[in-house]
Amino acid sequence: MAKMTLEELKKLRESKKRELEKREITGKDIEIIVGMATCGIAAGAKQTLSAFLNELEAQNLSNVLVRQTGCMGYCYAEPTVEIRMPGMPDIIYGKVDPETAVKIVRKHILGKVLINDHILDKPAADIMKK
Amino acid sequence: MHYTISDYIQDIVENALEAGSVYTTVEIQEQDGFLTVRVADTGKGMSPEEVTKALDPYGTSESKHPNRKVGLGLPFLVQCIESLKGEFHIHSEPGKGTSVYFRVPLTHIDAPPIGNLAETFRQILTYPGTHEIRIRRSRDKDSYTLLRSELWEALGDLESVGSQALLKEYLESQESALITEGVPQ
Repeated sequence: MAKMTLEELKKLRESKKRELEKREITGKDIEIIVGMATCGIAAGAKQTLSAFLNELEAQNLSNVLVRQTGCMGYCYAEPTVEIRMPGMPDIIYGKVDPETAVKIVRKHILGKVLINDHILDKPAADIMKK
Repeated sequence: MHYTISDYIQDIVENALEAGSVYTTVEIQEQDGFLTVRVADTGKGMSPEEVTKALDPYGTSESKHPNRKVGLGLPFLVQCIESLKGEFHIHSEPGKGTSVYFRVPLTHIDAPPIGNLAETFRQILTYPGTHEIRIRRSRDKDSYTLLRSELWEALGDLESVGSQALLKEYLESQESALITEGVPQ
């Protein structure tokens, strides 16, 4: 693979942007937050984060925001993931391995159905950003 | 313990960002069978007592995690380095920042794999905030440098899936160019 320059990266972004504009824009208000502290990393949160990005890209959900945060306080249930989207309650899922991440994209985000086995909590008041 | 060296690096950078660092430098050098890593931040820093606590697995910051009894980020790293007979230094000053340095032999039988650095950089660079991160990665004589602000400018944002996919492509191209040139044909 040839080494890409920043200029080439900019051009690539422009062409992708045009491509996106042609498609119906979905996912703009969807936010996925993955806990990436020591506990998360040790439990495989890096693989979970990668799995979310790959699956969202594959499902053409390029506008979804994928963020990282520190420890949410559920070290026993890492990797933990918070999902916020219109039409669904804010929710924290626990023990989200890459397979569950794919399930969350397909069922929770696209199908609007909760994944009952992985529901952990609703977001605590002190980590909510309004 | 973490599985790869990349995981340790990401853990330390996360500490730096959580300490409010506005300018973080990450240097990763691979040479003569050794990996040298230096992470320096401009966060809130620690007093010598706080450093001792940070290195103790049964020590944690009351303000960061109230009611918690353990803090394993740095202790994991120290344990790994000790098992490889590597070098580890930490220097911190309250109000100025912290720097962490380590050097490990990659040929040691217990050395963890380096892991996927391109993916690690993507995750480090997309951590939310307006801070600057400078990453310099080298292997033998070849190197590349990443600046978070430049990538942000080129991509428009670092949080959407679209931007992160492009960033992945960019970082993988940097890393793979380095590897092909670094290995004798």
